[in-house]
Amino acid sequence: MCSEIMVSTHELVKHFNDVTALNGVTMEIPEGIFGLIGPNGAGKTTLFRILIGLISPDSGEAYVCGQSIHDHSLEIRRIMGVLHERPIYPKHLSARTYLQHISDLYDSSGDPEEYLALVGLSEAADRKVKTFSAGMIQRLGLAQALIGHPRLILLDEPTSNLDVLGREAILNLIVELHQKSGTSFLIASHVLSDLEKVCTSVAFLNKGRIVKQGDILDVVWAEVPNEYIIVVSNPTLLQRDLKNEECINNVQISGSRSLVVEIGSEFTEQDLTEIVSAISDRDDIRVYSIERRSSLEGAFRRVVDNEE
Amino acid sequence: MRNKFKHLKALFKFELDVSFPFPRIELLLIFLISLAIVGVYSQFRLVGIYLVPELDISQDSITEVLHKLEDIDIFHISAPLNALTLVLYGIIPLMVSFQIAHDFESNLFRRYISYPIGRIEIILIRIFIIWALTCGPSTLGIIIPYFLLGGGNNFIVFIILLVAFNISVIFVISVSVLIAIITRKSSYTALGGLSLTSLFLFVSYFITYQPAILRGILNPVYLSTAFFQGYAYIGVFVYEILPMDLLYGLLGSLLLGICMFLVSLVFVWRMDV
Amino acid sequence: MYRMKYMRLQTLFVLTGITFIILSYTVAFIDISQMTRIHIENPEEYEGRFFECSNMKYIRVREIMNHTFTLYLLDYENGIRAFAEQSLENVSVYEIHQNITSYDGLIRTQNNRWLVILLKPDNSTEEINCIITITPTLPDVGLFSIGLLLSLLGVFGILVVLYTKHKRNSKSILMI
Repeated sequence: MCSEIMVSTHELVKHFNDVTALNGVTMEIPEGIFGLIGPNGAGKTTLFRILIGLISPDSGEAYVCGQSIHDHSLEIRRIMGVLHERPIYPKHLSARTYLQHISDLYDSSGDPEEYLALVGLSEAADRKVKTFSAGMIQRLGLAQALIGHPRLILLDEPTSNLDVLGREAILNLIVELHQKSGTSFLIASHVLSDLEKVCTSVAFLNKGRIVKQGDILDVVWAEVPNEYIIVVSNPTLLQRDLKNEECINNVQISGSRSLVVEIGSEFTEQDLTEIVSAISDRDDIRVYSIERRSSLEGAFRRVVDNEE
Repeated sequence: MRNKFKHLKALFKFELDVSFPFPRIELLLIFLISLAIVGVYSQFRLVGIYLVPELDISQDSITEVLHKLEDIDIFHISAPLNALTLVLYGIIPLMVSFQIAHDFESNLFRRYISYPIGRIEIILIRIFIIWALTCGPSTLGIIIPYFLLGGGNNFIVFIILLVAFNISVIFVISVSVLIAIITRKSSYTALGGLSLTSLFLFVSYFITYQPAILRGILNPVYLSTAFFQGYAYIGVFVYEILPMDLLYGLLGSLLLGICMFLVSLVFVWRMDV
Repeated sequence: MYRMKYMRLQTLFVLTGITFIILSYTVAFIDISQMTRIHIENPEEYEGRFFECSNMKYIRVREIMNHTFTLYLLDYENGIRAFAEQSLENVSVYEIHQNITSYDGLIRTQNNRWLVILLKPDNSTEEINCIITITPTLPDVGLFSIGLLLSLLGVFGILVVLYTKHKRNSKSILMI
């Protein structure tokens, strides 16, 4: 029986020749859907590999469901499912056959049919893996991670290689699975918009260190309380006028049709809307939307900038 | 214990399906069995062809030779065994390259040990499969025709030769696996394994002025067949091989193979994947 | 997958069986015919040859002038004893054929691989000139039998697997 804390690490350090991949990582991952956020090379995959038992840390401790990775690596893998980045499966086997093998390895009663249906691959059950699209491979990856009835599933960049619809489908599936079976997920990704949709808690990893951790809403609200995205026909013009406004702390162009605006903490969204309306009427600019930027991306950027 | 057995069985089935899809096993089996059977039959025929025209019943030495051949029948299986050894010294590094080194290179090994599979378990299963696929059909291909063709009177000699054959295979597998685990590249494994095994064969067959034990370690089959053939010909020895040389050669090869194998396992256990 | 696993095993049996059957014909080609000529001028003399005879062989002995002769077939030990003692008294013989001008037969030696063919002219005044030919039987009986057995086992296994599959499918249809 696992405790509420799925994973805990203490001062994990790992070097690869001259590169420090992890530099004293200390964190606790509660039950739920946890996002491990960081840019490429932050150490996410290294941390995953340490938890799975593929590599040993140079120093530090880590526990999964209360079991030490040093002493109980095999037992940990029995209660864990893993979806690697860019997964590869034997091309000559059918999905059903491969899942049956995995079920046997886990010594679980998992029925491949059931898990293929769960991930939407029932009709492709008897097709060889080599005929699968990228999205189908990811789904198969989820199925093979689930079939052992794990307590925790590690997903390393689960939405890479997928189109918009594919990513949405995978993310919805993760949420659904967590709600149905109570399985916890640890998702490593640099696609923050995806994590924002599904995670209950997050940790920011940068240059091998945890720089922030907590409930996703707490983290975001703490770091980016007053940022808004304005989608507008002429962002350059709007930026010029907004800079002169008293309530505006910062305004930056974020795309060909959008601005990111930070307002003072004493002002509200209503105030911003009124100001933007007035400017748009005056300068004949078309405003499409003003949305609060509850953005993980913004929070991460701010935290990392503060660190540096 | 029962669960462990069940787990190993599941792992074995997994390995067979993943690493040896149809028709790899079948082709290898057919090839090695055919080679062995044809080799034994050819050797029996060669003996017949060689001796019959020369046979003159007034020549006592010929009848003595025939007596000796009846007692020690290694003559009939020495050539096929040596031929099979040559073939396997070539095939085994390639198999290890495809089945073990390739997985390290393509990160498949990483995938596999993300499941509840021990690293040592998976390597052991693969080595067992390679050994079974090389030794099994070869041994069957030798035993079946040998006994169909009347066999021989000296069963002990036959067993010793088969043991030497197995020791050869274990030795070459260990060498190849060690290279595979250290280099983790299929091309290095194939090239390195083939080069080393060629060297072993070259040294054992062509470098005559060296200790018999060394030849025995590098090629146990050759030393064994040379030893017994030496006694089959009256007063004619290829070179002097003492029984203890044969024993030390076989044991040395086996021990060296086991040591390399254990070193490989330690590497596997400790390495970052 | 259960079915697939056994199907593969049965296929292996069939393929191995077919291999043995093919080899039973191939090795017979490796096993070349042996031919020799025996010329006996002295009618009181015996003369013979040792032949390698590990498996079943077809033996043919022909006297080219139609002179009659006696044919003795012996195994290795008895053949050696006959030549050493220069006598057939303490010797047991597989077969004796007297007063023949030719012989055709199939033979396989019991415990060892050498067959001795001994000839002697029947008529006290005549010499004989015989050609002995030994050819392998096609196919090799031992290998063919093993091949056939394996193939039949494999085919039987495949039929069982297919029958089980059919039965399972029928049951599923019935349950609907």
